[in-house]
Amino acid sequence: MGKDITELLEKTISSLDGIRRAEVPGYFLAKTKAKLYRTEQKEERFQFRRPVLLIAVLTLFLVMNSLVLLHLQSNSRYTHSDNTSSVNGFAKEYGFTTSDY
Amino acid sequence: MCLITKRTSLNEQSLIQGLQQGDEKMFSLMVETYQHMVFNTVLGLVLNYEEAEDLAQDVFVLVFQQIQSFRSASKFSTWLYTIAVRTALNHLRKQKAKKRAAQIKRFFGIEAEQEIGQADFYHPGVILENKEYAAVLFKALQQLPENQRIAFLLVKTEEMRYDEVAEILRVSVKGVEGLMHRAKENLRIVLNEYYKN
Repeated sequence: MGKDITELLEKTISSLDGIRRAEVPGYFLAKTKAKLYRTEQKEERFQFRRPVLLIAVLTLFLVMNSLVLLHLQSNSRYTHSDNTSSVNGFAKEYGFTTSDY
Repeated sequence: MCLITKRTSLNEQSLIQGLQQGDEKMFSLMVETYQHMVFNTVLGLVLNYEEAEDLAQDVFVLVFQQIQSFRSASKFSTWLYTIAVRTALNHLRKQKAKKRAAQIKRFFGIEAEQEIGQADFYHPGVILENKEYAAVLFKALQQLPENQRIAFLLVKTEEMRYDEVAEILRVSVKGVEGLMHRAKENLRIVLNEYYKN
């Protein structure tokens, strides 16, 4: 009995000796190429999810925001001095000076 | 077989260069050259034709996408084997996780996909008189730790040398020897239980 089971075990363990490769299913190449094509298309569609592109878009957004802010700041400085001079002129014209009170 | 090997080693460098340039003709050449190797490696691990076909396709797509990261330090075929083994193992892990989730769902009374037991797998390349034994062996292999199973399958089904397996598993040749020894020991234990019942 002991010998029988040992033989059975060894026969089972060596049952893959001399195994041949299984045939690849039909049209494997065509199907694989189709899968590659589908994957590439999907990737193109989701290109915006790539970190490099996201960082580039974010940087561009920040640069544009900074430029607009700088531009507004410099404009507001001019506007502020213009406003002050026109108010002073208006006050002078109508005699609204601080010394009057 | 010998012809393919010779052709492969001759063209390996130009094949890699072509793939790195995104040449789709080279992609076809790669699939034609290595399809049997990749398909059979994956099949030995997942034991299902449809899944093995799908996964083997994934392997080639992945290789085409990641070819830039290939370093010529190892052989292209070794790299391909590594990706094939990793893809199959990831698939098996996902399957296991799905099964566990379904069990939990059933425990809480939520309807889950009915679990179907693994059917016996009959490899067409096994000689007729060994078919039944091989089906039992494939089932027993499922109970072995991953590295032991991979080492055993690559040596037995792909007739790989220990140093080639060592490169794929990133262990020493001695390590592979140990894995093979333990795999056989564990198989004896599992099979002993199987035949006793």
